[in-house]
Amino acid sequence: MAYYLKHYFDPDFNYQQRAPVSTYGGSVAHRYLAYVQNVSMGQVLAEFVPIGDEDAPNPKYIMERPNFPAGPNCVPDPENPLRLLAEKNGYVFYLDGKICVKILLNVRQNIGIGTGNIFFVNDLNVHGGIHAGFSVTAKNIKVRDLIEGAFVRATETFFAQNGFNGAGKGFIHAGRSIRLAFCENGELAAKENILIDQSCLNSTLYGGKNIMIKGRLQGGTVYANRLVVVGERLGGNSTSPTRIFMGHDPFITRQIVEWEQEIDRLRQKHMTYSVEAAKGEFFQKQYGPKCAFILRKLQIIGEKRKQLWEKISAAQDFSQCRVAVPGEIRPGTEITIGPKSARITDYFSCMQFFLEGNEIVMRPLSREEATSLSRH
Amino acid sequence: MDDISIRDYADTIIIHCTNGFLQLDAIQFMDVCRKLIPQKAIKSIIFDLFDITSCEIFSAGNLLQAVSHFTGLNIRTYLYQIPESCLCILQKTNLIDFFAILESEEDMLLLLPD
Repeated sequence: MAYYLKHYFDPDFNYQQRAPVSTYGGSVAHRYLAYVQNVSMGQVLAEFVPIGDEDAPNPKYIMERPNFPAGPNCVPDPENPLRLLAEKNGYVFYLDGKICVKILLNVRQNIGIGTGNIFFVNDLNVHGGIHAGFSVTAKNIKVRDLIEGAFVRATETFFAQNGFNGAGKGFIHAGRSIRLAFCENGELAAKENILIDQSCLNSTLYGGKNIMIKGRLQGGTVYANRLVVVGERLGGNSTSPTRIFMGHDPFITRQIVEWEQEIDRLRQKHMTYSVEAAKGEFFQKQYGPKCAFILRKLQIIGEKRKQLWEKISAAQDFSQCRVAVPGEIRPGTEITIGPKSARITDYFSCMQFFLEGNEIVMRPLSREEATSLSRH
Repeated sequence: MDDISIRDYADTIIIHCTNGFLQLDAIQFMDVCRKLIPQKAIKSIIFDLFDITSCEIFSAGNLLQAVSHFTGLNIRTYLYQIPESCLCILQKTNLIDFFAILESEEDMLLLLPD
């Protein structure tokens, strides 16, 4: 009896022959080139079926015996030996006539118009940089060159040998930690730690635990919950104020900020629609339901924001919040720990800030502490 | 494609899937989605997985493949009404990290365009 090897992926897929996908309407999705065929653990990759079941069988996959051309990370289904499963999350392709699942995706070029956006279910190694406007999602991500205004999501860690220029809109989010050389005009958010080897300029940082910037922290806002270390210089000039907020969960704070922006947007829209609706019956019919829908949204968001504030107030622990600066501190910097806020009004060096009693206090760092922090 | 019903809003698509969806051939499904989705400036897709049972969730892989195409277009992808059992399997395979889970109908409302 002859068998046909039915594939649940494209066996002729070639990542070097990518092309934008034309759409129904005749336009082309230039940023979607399907660079990789993702498979998840336990997913059926191929199955032997009787030859008669296929409408147009490819002779290449007709076999006398049901022996899978299985390569690494592929296993027969224990419940149905005629099925081949993926053993790990990764990408599937044919290599030397065998079906293989690889768990590390190497992109040996810049991510940009040549590759399209990349979404991968395991680890990703980018040997170039990431161009502005492109999005990359994977588990652990390593990037060798510059990241420019891109949207990067690592579900675990992110590491860049070079830096990140967010151009005011780009972000890097990580489920665990982020490490990169420098950050400029971008947003970094990590559930655990952020380490910047050089400077951080005009950026927004959210760190669930510690944030360490070895060079300058100049301009922008930092939200953290434990220790913030700035090695060289904290603060810049009056045109780029630097703010540090500590003591509240940075991610809840971020959510609250987002809800507040959304509330502002909805209020403005509601105002516009109300003016239109007031023009007469015809307009009322058109804009009335829209106004009602916006009001419903505002109500939901208001409740959500209230819940977040309650959550944030319930979990207050400021004992671990500390800002340590072995280098120079410039005036104009604002430090907030829990409910208290302090503004630096003079030049200092080698200081630390923490909450004592009900005040933010500034104490000199001991020589050992300063040396130890600088060394890290 | 009877197993998929699609509610189409200005820039959000809600795909309600029944059991059959996950048994569909992934390539077939992706093909449909590829044609369907890019014709509009879609920002969000919500997979309403109300009827899905745990035995098919392996096919989260299939779902994910489809989703990977969507996210390739910068589309945010959400799962709604996902059963506890499916949630466990998605967590086990770490696929869960790649989705946003909607907890209530109100969450879904917020995603709809004004």
